[in-house]
Amino acid sequence: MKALVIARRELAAYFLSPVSYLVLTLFLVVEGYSFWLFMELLSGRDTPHGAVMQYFFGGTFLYWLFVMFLVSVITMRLVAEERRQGTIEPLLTAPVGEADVIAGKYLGALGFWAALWLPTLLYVVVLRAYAPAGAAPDAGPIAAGYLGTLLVGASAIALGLLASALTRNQILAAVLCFSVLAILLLVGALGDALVRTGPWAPVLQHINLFRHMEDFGRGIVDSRHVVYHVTLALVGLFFATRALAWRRGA
Amino acid sequence: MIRALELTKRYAGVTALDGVSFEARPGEVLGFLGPNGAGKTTTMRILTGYVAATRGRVEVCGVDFHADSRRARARIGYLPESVPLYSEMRVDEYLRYRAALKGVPSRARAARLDDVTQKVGIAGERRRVIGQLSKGYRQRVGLADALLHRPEVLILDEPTDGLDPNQRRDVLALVAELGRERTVILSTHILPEVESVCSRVVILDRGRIIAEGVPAELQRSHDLIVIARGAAQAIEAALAALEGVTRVEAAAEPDDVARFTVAATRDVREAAAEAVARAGGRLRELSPRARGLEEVFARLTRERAS
Repeated sequence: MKALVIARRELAAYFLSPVSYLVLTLFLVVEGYSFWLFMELLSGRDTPHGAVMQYFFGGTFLYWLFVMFLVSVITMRLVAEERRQGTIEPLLTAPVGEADVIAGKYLGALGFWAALWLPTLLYVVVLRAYAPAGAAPDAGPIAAGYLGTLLVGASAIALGLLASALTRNQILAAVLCFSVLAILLLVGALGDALVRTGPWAPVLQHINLFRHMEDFGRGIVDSRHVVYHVTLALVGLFFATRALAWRRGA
Repeated sequence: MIRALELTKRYAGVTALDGVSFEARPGEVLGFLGPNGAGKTTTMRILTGYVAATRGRVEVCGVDFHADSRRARARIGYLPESVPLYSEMRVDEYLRYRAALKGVPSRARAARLDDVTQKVGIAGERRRVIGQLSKGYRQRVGLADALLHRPEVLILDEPTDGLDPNQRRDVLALVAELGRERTVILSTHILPEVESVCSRVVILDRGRIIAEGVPAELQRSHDLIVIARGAAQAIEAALAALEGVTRVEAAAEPDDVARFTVAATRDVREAAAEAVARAGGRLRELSPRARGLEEVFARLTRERAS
């Protein structure tokens, strides 16, 4: 219950901060551009065929770069800012547990992540409205794409929250978060591309985030991908909680 | 009621607090005095559970912090030093959030907000954005927050820091009033404040308690003020020669009268009267002199240094 109180304040804080509107605008510009780009490319005569939204979710490096950047910016202030401003002191001396604080901040950030993506549902509306009869996009893969994006957000935000709990410097938290996410992405992608045989090949394939979103974009909800992201999120949240308790000296 | 037992706090090789024990009862305002860096804030932070002590225990109304930190924290209202607040929120929003966080039932919240904002005098500022408030109002918002869950114990770290004299007087009056039914612990380095509101003081220096007691008791001394007519130099010499007198300061007054401030380690009233007579002076006045807390404090902290 206390976590929900914190989550509500955290979500409200996003909408009271000018940075959030900058992020929101940037997000819509970039996503709008990439949507238009895929539309343009896929509707040409000699181009590959496929669903626009499939490419929109994870078909490209653009998606991942933006995910890493956005999550870093969204999560950097969560704990670091409270430490710098000192507001962490009234927060931690109120009768709430560290787990409540972390869970609340996490849910608030995840809520903002969902709010960021919400306007892109308009693209789906546009596609349906202009599609010729019988060629309307399939709802299943699109829903899976959104589910995948939510899961990617869930794990990445947990790691960003952990980074923010480790320092009082927001920029450092953002850089740390971005680096960790970049490493996760690159290890999977490069490993998967380079190691095609041997015992490590299936592991690298499994942790290749590009594959995750390709699957989700095609409408494949692979439980292994779900487990991967949920596990990563729980690990991040656990250590973030420990980081708070450790700073307290307990 | 709050009780601290043998609190010790070490940070990476530095001992910030060394075996500090004390107790504060309901209806009591306990003042924590000490120079900067004496360990006041560290003590406050341990009492409120913000940091854990390296050794020692804190008990709040019979609840051990170690056993049930959350339940103990629910009984404490805390005003941290420099009053950190979310500057983007409005006063009302912030207090409503804090009330929910502290578990004030949702039905009681509106009435509770009315009550505390009235009490600290910010009823007219509730719609304002915290970031635009003056230091004095911020302090009051912090106090309102500390009172929201009707805690039995109030812990105020430098509650008058950075306030102007009027605001300071208001806050102190409020603290004195709050202290009538609760246990209040307040830290400060401004001595007259302690004299005006605290029923008991603890003087802290470099992590240890060096004195503890009722302000009037700590101020009690054998010092005298002697006013006499006559040869000032002779009288001064006679007073200084008395056993138990450590220092005499003379100040001339009109009409051949001088005023002597006598520092003594034991009762020298009769001896002083005789000494004045012996030096050919005529005694006009002889009275005990209370030491200011400032003086007590300076003497105690200096004694420890040497």
